[in-house]
Amino acid sequence: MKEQIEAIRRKVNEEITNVKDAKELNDLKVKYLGKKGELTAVLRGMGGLSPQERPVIGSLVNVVRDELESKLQQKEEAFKKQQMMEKLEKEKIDITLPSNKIKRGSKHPLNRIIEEVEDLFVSMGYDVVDGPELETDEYCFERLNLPQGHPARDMQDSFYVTPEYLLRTQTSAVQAHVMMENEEKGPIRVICPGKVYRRDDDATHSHQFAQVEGLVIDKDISLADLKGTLEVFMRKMLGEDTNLRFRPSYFPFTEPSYEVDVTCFKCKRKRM
Amino acid sequence: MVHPNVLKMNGYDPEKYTGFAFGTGLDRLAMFKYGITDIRLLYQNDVRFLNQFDRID
Repeated sequence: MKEQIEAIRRKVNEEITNVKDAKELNDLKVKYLGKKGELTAVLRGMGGLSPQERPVIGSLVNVVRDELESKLQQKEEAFKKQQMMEKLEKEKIDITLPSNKIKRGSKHPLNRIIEEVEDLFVSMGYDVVDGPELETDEYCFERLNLPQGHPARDMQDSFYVTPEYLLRTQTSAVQAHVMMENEEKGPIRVICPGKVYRRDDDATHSHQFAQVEGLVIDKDISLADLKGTLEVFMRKMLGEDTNLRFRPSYFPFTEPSYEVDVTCFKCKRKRM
Repeated sequence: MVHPNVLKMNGYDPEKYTGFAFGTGLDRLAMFKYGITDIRLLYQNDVRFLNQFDRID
């Protein structure tokens, strides 16, 4: 029986060197140490031994089993380690590779301008207000001193949606809203940037374009205030060496009225 | 200067208050500032045009 055990020991030691993967290792384990394994069979056969032999063989079996189990375990750990190394190797990330560049959008030039204008006027204590783009005839014209039939209405080639509603032809329409909504009828300092619509379309006129409207109402506001405000406005936007020229003009909603020329941003002499 | 009729029509007393109003075309301002020669470029959303504003500011 002793020889039998030694033979098992030898066989396992021999076969274990040929084991190639975890599955084969497991098969080996089952073959010798499993419930129906060879070593277990030896253990079962101990019933036929003499009482003197029994403890000797029993302890030998235990020694051999412990030895083989630890060897198998070592082998198993070696496999696991190897597997892990293979996995690490396979999934290795080259952190020195350049990354895919994230494409960034950019602000539309008009939005840049609007934000710049808003920042400037907010810094001077103005509020930024908004108004409807689909406007009533009343707010777009009547309340701005353009009664029906007024010839100046022809100056604005309007998009009428119904006889009463139109796409606003100028942000001035917001003026009437701001004044009407000011319940205390107190001082007002607002700008209103926004889209306006006219029946124009060429290189310098678009049927939709953007305006910014400014409205200041208070006691003792004079033309000097307007002039100073516009000077700051244009110099901040187009450069400190920008000059303005006020040209008398006509608008139904203002009196006196001016059109303002600015020095050309490029040559600083030609006019707007 | 805001027309007295406009003040009156919208509930302000022109004897008490005066005001000024101004309007500027923002497209024109953008055209001046960035040297854009055709206003329609601002509304066509052509990426070749918009990309040029990538690194301004």
